[in-house]
Amino acid sequence: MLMTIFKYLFVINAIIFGSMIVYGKCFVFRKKKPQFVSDYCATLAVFLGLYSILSIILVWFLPSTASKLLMLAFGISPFLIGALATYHTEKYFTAIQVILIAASAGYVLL
Amino acid sequence: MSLDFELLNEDRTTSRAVLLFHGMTGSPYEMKKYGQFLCSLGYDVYCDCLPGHGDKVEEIYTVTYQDWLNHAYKRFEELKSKYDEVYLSGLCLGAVLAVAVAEKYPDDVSGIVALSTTLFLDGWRLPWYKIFIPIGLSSIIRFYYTYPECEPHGIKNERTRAVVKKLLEKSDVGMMDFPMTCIFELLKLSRQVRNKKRLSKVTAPILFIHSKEDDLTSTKSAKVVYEGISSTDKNMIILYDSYHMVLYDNEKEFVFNTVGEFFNSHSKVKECVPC
Repeated sequence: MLMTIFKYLFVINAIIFGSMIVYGKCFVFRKKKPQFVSDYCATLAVFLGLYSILSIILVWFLPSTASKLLMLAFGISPFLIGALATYHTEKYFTAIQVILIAASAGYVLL
Repeated sequence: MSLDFELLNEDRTTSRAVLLFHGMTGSPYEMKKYGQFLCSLGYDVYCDCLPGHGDKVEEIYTVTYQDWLNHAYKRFEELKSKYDEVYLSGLCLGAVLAVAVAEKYPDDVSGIVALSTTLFLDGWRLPWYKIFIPIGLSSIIRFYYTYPECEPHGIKNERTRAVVKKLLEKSDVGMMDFPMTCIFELLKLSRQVRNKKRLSKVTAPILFIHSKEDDLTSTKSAKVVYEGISSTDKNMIILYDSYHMVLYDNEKEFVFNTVGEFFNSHSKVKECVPC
């Protein structure tokens, strides 16, 4: 029961998080006022934090070691991507981040 | 158009110089009046745009703290080869760079004046979500986010603030926002500079001036450096009627005079030559 709750929380959070990144890249970051962008990014950081926390929580519920490791990898992926990305490669890493978020949501649902 | 400046005593050759470092997203323009004051006391004064600032503002997104350090070291070495005494002074990020130079060249720096030293971003102006800064900095979000320059622009005096605000809007003497990537580099520089082993190498006379009501960084930044350095000749002055930009605010004359007294009392060269 608890696992199901966390599973759906994770998926909902992942959808919001991923969508916000895409929407932000397409519309918010270039065209909106700096204060709005600032608040938007702060909200994005909240969902990122939740994404990682929920990933780590789900690690406890998953049955096999492989699935636990995969879930952990999903959870720390935003920070790994943050460490690897540069100003010039940011677009590619944003795409990778969004793909990973979608993959993690799909994995948890299946 | 270059914003760098050199204020040299042309009537006589002076053997003492001051190297100034401006603040993050600022430019040498913000140090000009300060530089002119120091020049009037008989010092040659130098101030350059830090990498990523000034004309090449797009580089702010790719500049690293190592670029700032290398620039500072190189400039100091150049001046040290020409002058008997070289003093350092900086505002905000500039103060951190001044301390970094003193860490690397402990025997060569004649004195340091650190204004509004910024090791931590914990001032009262920072928004409610400052607790999420570490998450933003360590993820891809740092490439999306810029912290907008906003009231009170580091200045308590309302008239001065209005003038500075207009200046920022109309010219390129400073940036209107702080890219998160730049803040990231500042915090990396801060981690290096406040390392206890490195701080303990600083032995030069040092004066800290920091405002109690600094909107960007609390007095903790100055205190960490003050307590970590090995200098026996160190002094901390806390201002009570200014914000972050102490060179422009209500107590600017006090700041200028105090700095002038500090440099003159530590200079072994006695010269009084007007610029």
